[in-house]
Amino acid sequence: MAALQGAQDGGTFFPPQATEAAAEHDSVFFLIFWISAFFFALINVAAVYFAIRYRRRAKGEPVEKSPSHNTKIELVWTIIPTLIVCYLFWIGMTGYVDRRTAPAGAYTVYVTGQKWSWSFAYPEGFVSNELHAPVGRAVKLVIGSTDVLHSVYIPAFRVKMDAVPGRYTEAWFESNRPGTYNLFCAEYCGQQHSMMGASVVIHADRAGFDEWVKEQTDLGDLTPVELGALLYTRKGCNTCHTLDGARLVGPSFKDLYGSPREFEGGGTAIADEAYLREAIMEPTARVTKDYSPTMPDFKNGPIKIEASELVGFIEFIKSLSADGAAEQAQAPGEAPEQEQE
Amino acid sequence: MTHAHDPSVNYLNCQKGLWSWLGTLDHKRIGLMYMWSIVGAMVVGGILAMLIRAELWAPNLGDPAKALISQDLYNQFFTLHGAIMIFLVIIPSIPAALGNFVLPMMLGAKDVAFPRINRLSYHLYLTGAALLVVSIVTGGIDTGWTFYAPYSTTTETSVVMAVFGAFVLGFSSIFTGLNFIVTIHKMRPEGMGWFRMPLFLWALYATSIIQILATPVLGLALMLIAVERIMEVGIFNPALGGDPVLFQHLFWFYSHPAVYVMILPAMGVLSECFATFSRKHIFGYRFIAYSSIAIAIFSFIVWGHHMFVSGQSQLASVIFSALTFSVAIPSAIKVFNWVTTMYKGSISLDTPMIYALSVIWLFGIGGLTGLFLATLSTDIHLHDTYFVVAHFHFVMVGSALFSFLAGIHYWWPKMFGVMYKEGPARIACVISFIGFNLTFIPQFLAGTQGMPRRYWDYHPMYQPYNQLSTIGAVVLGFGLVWSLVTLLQSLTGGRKAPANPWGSATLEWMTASPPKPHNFDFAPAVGDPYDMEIVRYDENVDGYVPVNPHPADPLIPLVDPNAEDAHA
Ligand code: HEC
Ligand SMILES: [Cu+2]
Ligand SMILES: [Cu+2]
Repeated sequence: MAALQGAQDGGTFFPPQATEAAAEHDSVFFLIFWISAFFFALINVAAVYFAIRYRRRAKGEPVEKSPSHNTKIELVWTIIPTLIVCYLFWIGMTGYVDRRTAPAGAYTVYVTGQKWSWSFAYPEGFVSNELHAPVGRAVKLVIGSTDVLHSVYIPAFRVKMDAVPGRYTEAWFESNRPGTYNLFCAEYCGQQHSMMGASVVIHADRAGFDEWVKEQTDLGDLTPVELGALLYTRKGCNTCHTLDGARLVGPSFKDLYGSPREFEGGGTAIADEAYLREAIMEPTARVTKDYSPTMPDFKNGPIKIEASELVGFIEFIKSLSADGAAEQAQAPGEAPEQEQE
Repeated sequence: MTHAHDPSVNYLNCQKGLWSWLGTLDHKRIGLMYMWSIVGAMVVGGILAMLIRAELWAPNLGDPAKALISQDLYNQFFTLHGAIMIFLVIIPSIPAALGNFVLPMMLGAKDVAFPRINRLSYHLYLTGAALLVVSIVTGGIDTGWTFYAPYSTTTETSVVMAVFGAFVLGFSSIFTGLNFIVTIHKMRPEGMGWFRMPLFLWALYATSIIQILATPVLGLALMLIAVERIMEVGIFNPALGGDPVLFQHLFWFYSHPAVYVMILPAMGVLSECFATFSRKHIFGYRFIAYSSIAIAIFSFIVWGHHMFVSGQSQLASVIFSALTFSVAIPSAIKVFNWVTTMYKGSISLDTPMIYALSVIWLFGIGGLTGLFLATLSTDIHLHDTYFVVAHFHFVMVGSALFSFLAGIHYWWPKMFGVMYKEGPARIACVISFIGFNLTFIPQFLAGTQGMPRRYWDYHPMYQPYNQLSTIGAVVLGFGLVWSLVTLLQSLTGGRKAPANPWGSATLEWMTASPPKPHNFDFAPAVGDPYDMEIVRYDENVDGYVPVNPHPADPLIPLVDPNAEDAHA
């Protein structure tokens, strides 16, 4: 799973409270918990006590007559729970409305779910597979999906909202605790549902966040291989392709370059640059044998690959096979030098 | 009937051969066939549950090679586990199996109003089950039992066949409900006004209303899925111009009330058990009866509580939350009345009563955890996590299934004319109870800690909860198998059951165990169903007999149908 964080130090019941809303949520939870515990104890203690106190000592023993109804008692145990649930409804409602209505001027991040990765588009004009924000800043998530239902769920913030294809939904949070948290997909979406995670990084201050934004927007001085390696995680290829030869949803990138490929429905090819270009930009054109055509559309989908980035991917994949690495090392001119820069 | 007065002839031995069962019109035989079919389906659903729990024993850390079961198979397993347990086990369990067996006898009647439709219900049940099997062998289903669109309209698995199976099962359920409503309206005996019906009948009546009004909507929703898949008409898939949230509305319009198809009859069984085993008039009869109807009505207007984070408008969510809390009240009323029924009783902890007491605990947890989900702000965090999984298992298994077991143990002597061994049956109940709690209590914590449901893999921090849960599932499975074995053993060597072993005052106990083919030779008149004083303990039969036997049949008490109820 791409987005696994270390065990998160929360309490017995909850992960850490990384927002004020989380603290408020937990207090409502525990209020209901103690009310429930009271009624639960009441009925169970009474039932067990009666079962012992009035146990049948002899078959056919006479039974003392006792009333079989009492309207006053019935009214009491109808009205008291009614008042309690009215109160619960009220606090639940106010909390809910607060947590669904983002404050004006919140920093907006567009979240897109697709089988089986998340992408986050920032107002500065870049896309990442991680959700970043500084402490103390309200962040509004505008959530969509390109295929089926998904759900953005960040336990540490107690935030959840479905990603529904064909419409946008909204959620928001304001974190008060720097750290890295898990984002899970909470709505069943098929094969890799449980792997559809992302990291949420809360920066301790505004400067740290700005720094990160700068890194994202400024890719100029990377070599193509470095760029490919960076984009490999940033564009979410790692959710389906490994670098160590293991099979996930798609084939591993290790030793892919230069190897013979077989396709569903017949046909073969050698994985050269042209083939890789096609495999990345038009994955359904030829589908690798024994795999299903589940690779996202990077041409028209929410996460796009630019021409310059494509070169990075191809060079990166090349560097992962012996043939490709040898070619790169031999290549005359700038290529090896560029790597030293 | 030529055998009418031969006491050795009963409904079990009056005819032989496979067709005497499959083609029977006798409600008792149909009830038994349902029961065995349900047990069979439960074994299959249970094995799937064990496989799921085995897979969740350890996280795979994203590596399919570490997994016991592949993702695709896992997704099919939890889908099938849900579909089988809901459509083939819990929904028909009490109404179709126990209800069919007991309802006409509680009315002193020979059969249900439409015996042929009743047989058709069972045949549709078998057909629906067969269609589900066909869908499994032709590609399986991986949509979850909820069939959420647009996943269900785009996945490559055999969804059309599966929804067709569920559609057919829906009709089985509708016909049973129809039959029960007509039977209760038309076939009550002399003296049995509405407020002299046993509470089990009130519960079945309320259940039947839901079955006939809500099930057609499920059929509709499922057919629309098939239409979208086959004809590519855009109903739910936005890519074709549809709306996925519409499906959720249609689906839950049935499936929330369906929860009460599961739990209302269970509450009916409990009412009978608490009165009988306390040898006391049920406390608050009218409140329990009305609360069944209230639950049936409220159940129709709360479906939106499954959709608080679905993109449904805030206003709609607020209204659905308020309405949802209304269901809590009648449920609470019932529990208070059952416990109060025990007060100053003569309480005998026979197996059905131990199951009933377990349900006080289990339904307590299942019902009260519903408060966290009805409360809007806490539902945001808990929705679609293991908290919900644990909550509905406490309601649907802990409460409905344990009540089904209470009912089976309660009516077993009547069904087969034998007593099972009390000792092992009680131990089985206690083991199942412990196993159940061990399975599902840790899941509440996995849920509050944030583990989403339907996960093939999980963060290692959730491993302790999952391991406890898997251990619990093994214990629970062991307890259930033990209880089945104990029951089956009684069929060959069990002590012969008296007509009325527990001392109940309702009519099904006023005929031989097992009953004769036509239940009663004449329609008995009845009084208050919870007036325990009309029967007394008789050591000679180790059971109860009428204090005032009817001159024509000593098993039937002679009552004045016009007498006032002891406690109206
Ligand atoms: C949702 C899973 C998924 C994601 C995300 C994904 N792919 Fe794929 N990819 C696949 C699958 C499945 C195949 C094999 C089927 C096919 O050929 O379309 C594949 C095939 C490929 C191939 C051809 C491999 C061969 O066997 O010839 C390349 C190259 C590739 N992907 C590159 C990428 C890159 C680069 C990214 C990230 C920008 C990416 N993929 C993201 C699933 C994915
Ligand atoms: Cu998902
Ligand atoms: Cu519901």
